[in-house]
Amino acid sequence: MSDFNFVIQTDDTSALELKLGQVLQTASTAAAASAADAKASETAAANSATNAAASATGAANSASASAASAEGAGDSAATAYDSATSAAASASSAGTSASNAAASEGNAATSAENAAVSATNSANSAAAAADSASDAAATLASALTKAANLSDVENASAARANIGLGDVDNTADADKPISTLQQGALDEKAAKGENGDITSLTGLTTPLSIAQGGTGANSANAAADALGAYRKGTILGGVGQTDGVPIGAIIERGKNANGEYVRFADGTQICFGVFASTVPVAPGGYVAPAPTLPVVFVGTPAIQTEILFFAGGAAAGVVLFSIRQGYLSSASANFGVYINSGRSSASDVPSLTLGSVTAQSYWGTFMAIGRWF
Amino acid sequence: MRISFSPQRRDDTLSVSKQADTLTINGIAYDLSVVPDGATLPASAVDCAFVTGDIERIDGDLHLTLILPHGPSPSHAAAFPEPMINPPDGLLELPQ
Repeated sequence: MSDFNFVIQTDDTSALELKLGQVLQTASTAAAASAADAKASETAAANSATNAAASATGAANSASASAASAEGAGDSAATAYDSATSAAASASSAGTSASNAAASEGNAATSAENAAVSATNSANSAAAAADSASDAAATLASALTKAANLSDVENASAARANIGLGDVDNTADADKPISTLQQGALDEKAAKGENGDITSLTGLTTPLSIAQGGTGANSANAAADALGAYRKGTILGGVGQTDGVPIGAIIERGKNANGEYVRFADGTQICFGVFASTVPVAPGGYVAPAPTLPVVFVGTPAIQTEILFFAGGAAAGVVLFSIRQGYLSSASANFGVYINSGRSSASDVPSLTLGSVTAQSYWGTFMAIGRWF
Repeated sequence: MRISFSPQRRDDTLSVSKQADTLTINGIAYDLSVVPDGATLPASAVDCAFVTGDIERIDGDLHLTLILPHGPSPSHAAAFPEPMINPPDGLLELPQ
């Protein structure tokens, strides 16, 4: 058995120590009693310990609660400080507002005073205006009297009559006068109808049409052409026809290597020319001239020819007598033939008896008259 | 070949093409190769109104004259035409 200490904590924090070894050495008998006492004490101690533990737990809980309360008190104090600061600021603002209110009150009093003055002035003006209106009404009433001829303004016609204007609105249209200047201008205007007073037209920019009796043209040539009239510039030129109606000029004149011709719009045609040869023709020999005409005819034209035989060449020298004989040829129609008589017109007389001079050349003319259509 | 022209105012027209000794006048061919050298063929022997005067072959060359139609106011070349000497085969360029 070894010694041991047994310590018990009680409420008043005093410690109870028992040294069991000493108890055992002193008395065993008492020991038992003591043991019993100890046992009781132990039980009591145990109870005390249990109570102490419970008390400790409660103390700890109280301490914890106290700590929590202290922390909440701290927070409340900070909040209270902030509120105090705000209250101080609010108090300062309230003071300023009170000061301003006092100043405004003073101004309001001044304004009220001015308003009272203005009201008084307005009342005075209104009274004066009322007096003026009354005076004006009196003046108007006196102006619209019978003597002023406007008392019947309710009746426009009577009012016009009263002031001498009764005829203003009752003149018939035909009786309305026009001014002298207007009448003069009207007198200058041309009359409608037969226009016997129009003596000339000036400034006419559009030519009168053919239907209006004009030509529809701006120049003499164009006017003649528009009217289908011949003029100096269209009398001569190419002649043509359609079904006998002229479609060209009136007279056509032409010339070529075979001679000259004139063609008329009515169908008449004339041509003429000359022909020559240096082929010798012995006495008794003949020439049947068939010149190509410079223009073509319709049908057979009337052709006249004449031939002169020359003793010299190229239509030179003495002219010899020729004898013409009628002759019908399908190729040359009635041109006729010409016989060299061989007789000189310088030394002989015309005769049917042949002479002896051979023609060295001959020269002839022709003329044909006929129609070209 | 020597082709002379005899101008005449008329309303019809003339078109001539040549192929050797054959002339085609307004679409009708006339073979003139039958004319022997030195011979003369009267115009009346050719049934063509545009052939005028005699057709001759001189030294192997044909000589003939054709009517050359012209209208009013012809050019000098058409009114006083020059002969055409040895024209090439084909359509002849007649004086206008």
